[in-house]
This record gives sequence, structure tokens and C-alpha cells, in this order.
Amino acid sequence: MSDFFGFNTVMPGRPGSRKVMLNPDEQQELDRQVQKYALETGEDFEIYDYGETYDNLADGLEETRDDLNDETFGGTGAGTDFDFASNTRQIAPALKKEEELYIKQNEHVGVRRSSFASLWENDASAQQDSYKNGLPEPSQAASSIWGSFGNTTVKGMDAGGRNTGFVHDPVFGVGTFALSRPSTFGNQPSLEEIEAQLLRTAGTQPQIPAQQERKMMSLEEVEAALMSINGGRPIYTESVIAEQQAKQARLEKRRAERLAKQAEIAKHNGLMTQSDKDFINRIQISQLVTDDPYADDFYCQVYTALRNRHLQQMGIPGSMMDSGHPDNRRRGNGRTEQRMQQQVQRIVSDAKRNPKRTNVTVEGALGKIAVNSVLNPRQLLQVSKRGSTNDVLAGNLPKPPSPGPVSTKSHTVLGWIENVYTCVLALEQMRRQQPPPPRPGEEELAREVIQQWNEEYGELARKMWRELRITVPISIVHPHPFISILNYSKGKKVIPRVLRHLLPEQILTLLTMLVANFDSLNVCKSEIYADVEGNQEIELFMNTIVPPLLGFVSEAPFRIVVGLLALFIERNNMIWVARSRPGLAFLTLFLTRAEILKQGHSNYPIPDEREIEQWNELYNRLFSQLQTHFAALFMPKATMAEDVHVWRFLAAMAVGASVEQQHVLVTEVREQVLDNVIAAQTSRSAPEKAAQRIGNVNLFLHALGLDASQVTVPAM
Amino acid sequence: MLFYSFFKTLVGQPVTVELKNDLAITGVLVSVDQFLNIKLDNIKVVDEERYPHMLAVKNCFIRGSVVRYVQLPAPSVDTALLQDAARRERQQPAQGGRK
Repeated sequence: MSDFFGFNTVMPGRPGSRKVMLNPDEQQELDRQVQKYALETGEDFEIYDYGETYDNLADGLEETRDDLNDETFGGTGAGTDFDFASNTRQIAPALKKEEELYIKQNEHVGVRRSSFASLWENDASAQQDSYKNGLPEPSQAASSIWGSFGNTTVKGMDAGGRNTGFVHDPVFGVGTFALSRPSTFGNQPSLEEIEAQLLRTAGTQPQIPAQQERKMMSLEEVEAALMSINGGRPIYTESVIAEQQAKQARLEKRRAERLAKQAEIAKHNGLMTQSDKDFINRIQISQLVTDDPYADDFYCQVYTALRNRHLQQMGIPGSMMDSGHPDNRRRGNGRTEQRMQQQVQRIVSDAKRNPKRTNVTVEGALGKIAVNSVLNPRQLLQVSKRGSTNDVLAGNLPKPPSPGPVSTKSHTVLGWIENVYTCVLALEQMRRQQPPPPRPGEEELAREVIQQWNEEYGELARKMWRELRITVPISIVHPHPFISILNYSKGKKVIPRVLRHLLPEQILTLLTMLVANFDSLNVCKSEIYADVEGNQEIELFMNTIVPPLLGFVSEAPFRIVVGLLALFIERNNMIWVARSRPGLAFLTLFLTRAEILKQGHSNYPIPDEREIEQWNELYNRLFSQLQTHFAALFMPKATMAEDVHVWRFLAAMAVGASVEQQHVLVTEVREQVLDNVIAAQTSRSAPEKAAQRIGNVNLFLHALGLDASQVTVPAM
Repeated sequence: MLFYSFFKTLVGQPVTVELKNDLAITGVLVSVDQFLNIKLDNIKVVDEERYPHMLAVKNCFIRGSVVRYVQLPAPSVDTALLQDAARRERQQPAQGGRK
């Protein structure tokens, strides 16, 4: 009975059966207590008293021959193969070592990897505590392996505390943990040990402080390590510690911020696919794309072209286009750029195929959906179009200048000027798109193209010519429409651009018309000198209209010059005209050109006798008209720079003058000559101003064969 | 498109942008888009005493709709060409039904 399959079945404190072990006194006492209890509870305990009802049948059983048990249950006992507890006890130290090793590894990594650390935190801390107490606890190892028995451990501990060696108690039969306790550590578990156990097995509440403690320890450790590396000396200087801590914290914070930012951005990585990006690009580009850059991007195109030309003239390679589009230059590799170009091409062709619509009517929708774009912005103002449509009609249908009374009200004239501009712009655009010179093999095709271009160009040029209204007969309206155009500054500005598209005979007509109506030009009016605006107008006239016409006249034959001068003298009041700078400039122009032709300095043959005769007659007429007014040509309060054109005119007059006429000239302007020479000789004026005065005077005196140095200043 | 085209030629030039909140910023024009949003570099606020918080700002992006005026460098503006560009824009065959 003492051995059941090799297990000791003796119960602690109860070695043997009660019946066997109880003496008669005890038996009586027990019976008495049972009866007492039965009385108290009213329970009939008699039925449980086997003593009376027991028929002692068991006595009849053969209790002997136990020696045959071995035969019945097999040989020499069951062996100990199944004694797991004792087996475990044998290998417990090895297991413990393994576990320690593993925890140590995790401790190194675990400081950083908080997720793992938290997994192992309890065990690790408990382990460490127990190390500190010098109580290596194998039960730790065992418990962590047989983790599911956590709840029984405490019970087992209590039980194991009182029992040395193995626990065989069937009451605590499942206490595997207690069984695994090696007998070598049979001493009482310390308080700390139990506390650690409790911490581990209890709920989350006690865990948190343990965890925090652990973390703080680790930070301190890291700092200590840093300190020892940095200084190699003990870390007891408060300020140094604080400083290091602050620094560490700063770095740590910055790093964390950076990482957080990166993470923030990174979460959007790959949100758009390449086709999405292309789609967005298309939308953006399609707003800007145009098949005619000169139409939509006129300013930028022409400006850069002009700037490049200007820079090239100055010897600087034109790079305006590059600097104008820095984003193009910056744009990454060639492949991206190529793709962009392809996209742009596709967009352009798409745009050509389906012209943009302002509004779309979707089936089922109430009303129209407006499609706004840069080219077609949402309209905020509704202006009545009654007036403007008339203008558009007038512009679109270039009606030939009517012979009837023509209004010269300012807005009408401005309208004419705008029409001229329209034509000029169109002509310039055609010039830019001039077909290239024919390539070999394509002459026939190219000729056709060129001819068509020429026709269109000629048609447009004729339209512009009509818009200038030069051919309107003189003296129907006053001032002449063309002169009215020239009276506006933007009318003046357009003339040089107009002249480029005119035929030589058209230029001659223009010049004739100008000369014939010269004194109705506002720049010819003497009162215009009074104000700044008028001076600006004169300046503009001298800069825009005179130079190209000067170029034309300086190529003209003698006959034309004579004709123009004749018309000039005929139709205008010479005294009036000569007092204006533009008038004087034209007179000088004709006189010098005629003089040059007379002397045979140009390609034209020397004019014959009859033409010379005509010219002399004209000259005499001009001289007689201007006689006694030469001195009045000088501006009353003009500076000498403004006088230079007068001196130039006098010089031109002097060259062609006869001896008597020269005498008259000298007599009339003698005062001015003397004034200038005296002013130059007195030390009051600056040297360069004096030189200019002398130069001006010499213009005239040289024409007479004299020089300023010959002038004797009369004593005053 | 005229103004977009115009401002494109001013890239790299110093301009002063006056905003509708009376802030005036001088800087080098970096880029401009079709909405006339403006990017400026090396900026300097005209009235720094009133806007000290702008001292640290070196470059900026300005939404086109908040711009009141842009002061241009006169030499880099071709007014005659600008007039022509305006004429051309007006002549455009009513693009997309624009009046």
C-alpha cells in the first residue's frame, strides 16, 4: 500500500487509516461529536453508521497473497519513465541558464525596442530584482516556460514553504510548479521573492511602476555611458550633467521631430500614379498651350526676339529665352522634357480638333454649364454692345474714304489710326511668316506658295493704304484726314512702320500730301513751343517721321526735289512754316539735296539747264519770302542746342545763294553771329558750350567761305 | 494671356508687389503663372518697421488675387510693344466665344 505505481501515497500528517489508527477513546469521542452534531442539525447520522449495518463481508475477502500482485500487475514495478516532475527537476538548472541568457540578450536590444521590452519587461525586472537579492530563483525559469500555471504558483509556494522535498499531497495534486521546485533550494522563499511573484502574476496595475522604473534606469545608464565616453571622469558635476542632458534632449527632440515630419510626408508617398500626374500636368499645360504663340503670347515672343537681336548687336549671345524660362532649364532629365513636349503636342492637336466651347449643355441639366479658362474668363460685367458692334462693323468693312464731308472728330480719327495699326500688325505678322526660300526640287510648289503669300500681302498693304486716307482729295476737309492722323502721337508713331510696307510711289504720294498740307500740322504751329507737351510732339515728329522721309528724299532725283519744294512753297506760308522746327528741317532737306544733285555728287546725272533754271527760280522765291525774317527764325529764348537747326538751314540757304543774297543773309543774322561769338569768347560759359556756339556759327560761316575766327568783335 | 505673357518677360527683374493688405514687397521675380500668382526671391518688405515679422522671410509665393499693384522696372517694359500686344489681343477672333 505504501507504493502506488512508485508514488508515495502516504498523506502528510495522516499516516495510515483512521479506523486502524484510532484508539477506543478517540473512537468514543468521535462518535459523541457526531451525535452532537446530528442533534444540532437534525440529521440522521445513523444511516451513515456502517458499523451496525455492516455485514463484515469484507472480512471474508482474501487479504493475503499479496505476493501475487507482481504477477498480476507485471514484473518489477512500473519504472520511472513517466516521472516528469523529477525529470524536470534534474534539468532545471540548465533551463534556468538558458532563460537567463535569453533575457540578457533581450535586455540589450530591449532598451531601444520598446515593443519587445514591454513583452519581457515583467520577467526581466523581476529577474533583476531577484538577482539583487542574491536569490536566483529557478521557479522563474520554470514559470516562464510553463507560463500557464502562473496561478498555481502562489499556492504551490505556500504549500512548498511548509514541505521540504517532494510534495506528494493528492490534495494539491496539480501543483506541478511546486513539484518542480528543486529540493536543494528548500529554504523559505524571501519576502522579495514573493513580491516579485505577485507583481508578475497580478493584474496590470502593479506592472506600470515597474516598467517606468525600468525605463528610467535605462536612460540613466545611457547617460552614464555617454558621460564616461565623453569625459572619462566621474559624472558628479551637476552642471555638466544638466548640460549634457539638455543637449541630449534637444538632439533627441529634433531627431524625433524630423522623423515625425518625414513620416508625415511619407504617408502620402505613392498616392498619385504617373498617369495621375500626367493628367494634372495636362490640365495645367492645356491652359497655356496655344498653336499660335504670336497670337496668345505676342508680347513675350516679340520682346525676347527684339531683346535677343539687340543683345546680338551688342555682341552678347542672346540668352533671353533661357533666362525667361528658368523652370524649363531647371526641369530634370531629358526624358521628362521629351514626354512633356509630346504631351504638349497632343494637347495642341486636340485643341485644334475641338475648338473650345464656352458652355456645355448636359442632357438633363437645368441651364448651361459655363466652361471658364484663362482665355475665356468668367464675365463679370455685362456691357451693352450696341456701340461696339458698330465699331467692329466699321473696322471689318473698310469702306473707301467717302468723297463727302468726312468727320474729323477725335474718336473718328483715333479709329482710323487703330485701323492702320491693325493692318500694320497683320502685315508684320505676314512678314514673320514669310514662306522660306524654295528648296531644290520643290521650286514649283514653293513658287505657288510665295505667289499666294505675295497676293495676300499686297491686298493687306492696299487695305492699309486706304486706311491712311492719303488719297482723299485735298481741300475737301480741313485739315486733311492724313494730317489729322499725324496730329496724334500714335499716328506719328505708326508712320515709320507703315513706310516699310509701302511702294516708292506710295511714299512719294505720302510725302507730297504731307508737304502740301504742311502748315495744318499741329507741330507747325508756333504756339506749340509754349508747352512741354507740344515740345514732345515736335520731338516725336522729328524722330519718327523726318528720318525715314529724309532717307527717301536723299535718294530722290532732282526733278522730284524741285517738284516737292515747289509744292511746299506754293501751298504753305513760308514765314510761318520756317519758324517751326519740322518745317525748317524739311526746307533744309530739300535745299541740301538739290545742292548735292547740282554738284553731281550722287548717282544721278547733273541736272540740265532747264531744271537748274527752275530751281533758281524756286530758290529766289523762297529767299524773297523769307527775307527780313531770317533773324526771326531764331527762338526768342532758345538755348544754343535748339538753334543748331536754324544755323543748318542758314548754311543750306547760303550755299545756294548769290552774292547779293549772301550779303542780305549776313546782314540779317549779323547780330546772332556776334552774340554767339562774344558769348563763346567770354569766360562765363563752359568750354564745351563755347565750342558748340562757335561750331553752330561756323556751320553758317563756312557755307559762306568764312570762319568764326575771322569775326572781329566790335569794341563795346 | 497678355499679362501672363508680359510678366514672363520680367522674370529675373526686381519688382515691388503691393498687396491688398497694404504690404509692399520688393524682390526678384522668380516666376509667374496664368493666374498671375507671383514667386519672389530675396524679398524685402518696404516698410520693415511696420512688419517686423517679415524680416526673416527670404522668399515668398503670392496668390495673384491678393495683388493690388506691381511696380515694374521701367527700362524692361516696351510700351509700344505692349500697345501692339493689346491690339492683337483685341483683334483675336473671339476665342472660345469671348466677346
